[in-house]
Amino acid sequence: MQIYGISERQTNPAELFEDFHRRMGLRNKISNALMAIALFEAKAGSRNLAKYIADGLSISGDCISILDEIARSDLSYQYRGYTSKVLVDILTNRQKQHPDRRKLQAYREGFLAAQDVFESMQEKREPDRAMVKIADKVMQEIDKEIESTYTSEENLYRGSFVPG
Amino acid sequence: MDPSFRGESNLDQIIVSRIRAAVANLANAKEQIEKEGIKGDTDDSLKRFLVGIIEKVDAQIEPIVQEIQEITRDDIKRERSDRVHRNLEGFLYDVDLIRTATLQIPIELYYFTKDALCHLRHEEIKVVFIPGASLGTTNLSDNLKNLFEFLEGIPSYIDSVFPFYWIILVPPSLIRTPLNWPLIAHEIGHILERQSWNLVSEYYGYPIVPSLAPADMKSCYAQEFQADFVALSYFGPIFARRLFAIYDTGEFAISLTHPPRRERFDAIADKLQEMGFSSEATVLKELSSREEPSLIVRSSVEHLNEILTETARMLNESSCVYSQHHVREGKAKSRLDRFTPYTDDLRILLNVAEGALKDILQSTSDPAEKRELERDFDYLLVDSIRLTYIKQISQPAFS
Repeated sequence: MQIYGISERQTNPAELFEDFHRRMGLRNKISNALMAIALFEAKAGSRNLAKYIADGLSISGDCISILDEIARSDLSYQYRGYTSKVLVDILTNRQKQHPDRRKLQAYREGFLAAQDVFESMQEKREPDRAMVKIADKVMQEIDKEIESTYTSEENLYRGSFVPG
Repeated sequence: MDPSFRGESNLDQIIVSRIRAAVANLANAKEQIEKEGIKGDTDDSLKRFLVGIIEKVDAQIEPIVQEIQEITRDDIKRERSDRVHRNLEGFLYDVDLIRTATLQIPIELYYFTKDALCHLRHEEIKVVFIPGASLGTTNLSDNLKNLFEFLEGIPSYIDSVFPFYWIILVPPSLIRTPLNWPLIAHEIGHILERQSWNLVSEYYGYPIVPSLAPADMKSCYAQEFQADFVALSYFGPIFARRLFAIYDTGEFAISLTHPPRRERFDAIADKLQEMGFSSEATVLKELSSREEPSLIVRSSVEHLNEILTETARMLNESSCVYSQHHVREGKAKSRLDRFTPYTDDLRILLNVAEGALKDILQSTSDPAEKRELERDFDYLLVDSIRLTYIKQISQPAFS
């Protein structure tokens, strides 16, 4: 149960359907950001690189401002968009509890590094190697957290919409 | 030998072969859609939409495969491969769901919806019905765009062909009860707002994930009051009666994004009064007097009046507001009393149907016979809906 939003309500199938696809959308953007880093490390080019960098930059920027807002508002935080719901769920383990401050700070630092890395890439500057590692780590960690946090939703989705 | 059985050193080969296999599955799905079509997709728009996406994926997947081969890190290769597979699988799942779930929807439900959209002068709106645990609406196009965030050209392709393709989820009980079909008009109200009017968003925006914050609740409540307003204006008292019936039986789950029962029915009763259905309004007010906790009150949605005034203007432009026609209603009822299909105005049909059914059921006290009569009456309504639609789209033979 989540105290920040209205996930205590009965989830209706349309919301379940949308949430599943939004989660895929968010994880796709994270995957694009990781591809930008991997392509950079391999010194390989791609016609998609500009989009991957832009995705990395937008996720980093969004997450930094959301995390700042969560840190400020604590229990009174209200969602603004899907990414904020995901971050709150991860930081509170979907319980009625204060967000995990240690995690919040670590993610914030990770996304600040990621923002720096993707800005450098966008401006065709060489990003700092240490920052690249941090950016890579935070993206992979968030992706894994999303996977584990929403396992039950994935099952509920598959159970609610069954082709056949 | 299938590359998947080879050693770790062939990771690239395995990934490439699996992605190509997934794309081949999509090609098979495309063939199936082209061959069999999709039930209810009378203009083939959904078929064209899904087939178009599959063709785009096929044309654009190669650079994604090449990228995976070019990067040097195995962990990212695996992550990317996993993501590509999950998205393609997700899309295939959606396609299969649409293909198979639509088979459970009676074609008359589509005729019924097309009839309403035609009267509302929004025939361009695309809708597909899928059975679900409760009534709800979502934009398939937005959902598919999320799945293809990894393929740059697809979201823009979707925006260029069908930025809106609505899925309406309908509970099985509603599918089987034509008398409840006017409840679909509430969903049509949401669709008109989102696709065309944008009146609520002008004042309150549309929260993507609504919170309990007053600003979000105002938007949610305004959208719900507006959707009720549209359904009631278009269908008349039958919408109010059926909504009231399902509210108390708990047949459909109603989430917190909806105003509480009393506030909804107060608003509906006020509108009924304004439409000239005074006795219906009085009954509804009496029945709905039970107090319920509310997150915000209707009066705090300060721009609701402006939103509803503008909504009324939109509806008046299409001259589709329901008004009482005693003579036509009498004719419709007498046909239903005689178990004869009625093919004039679906709104009149449904507004008199409840009363006609009640009268018919009084003819027997045997529960089994009553059940049979109810079932036959449902068939009569569905036949009437189908015949009305056919009459409207074809040239009358004896005019």
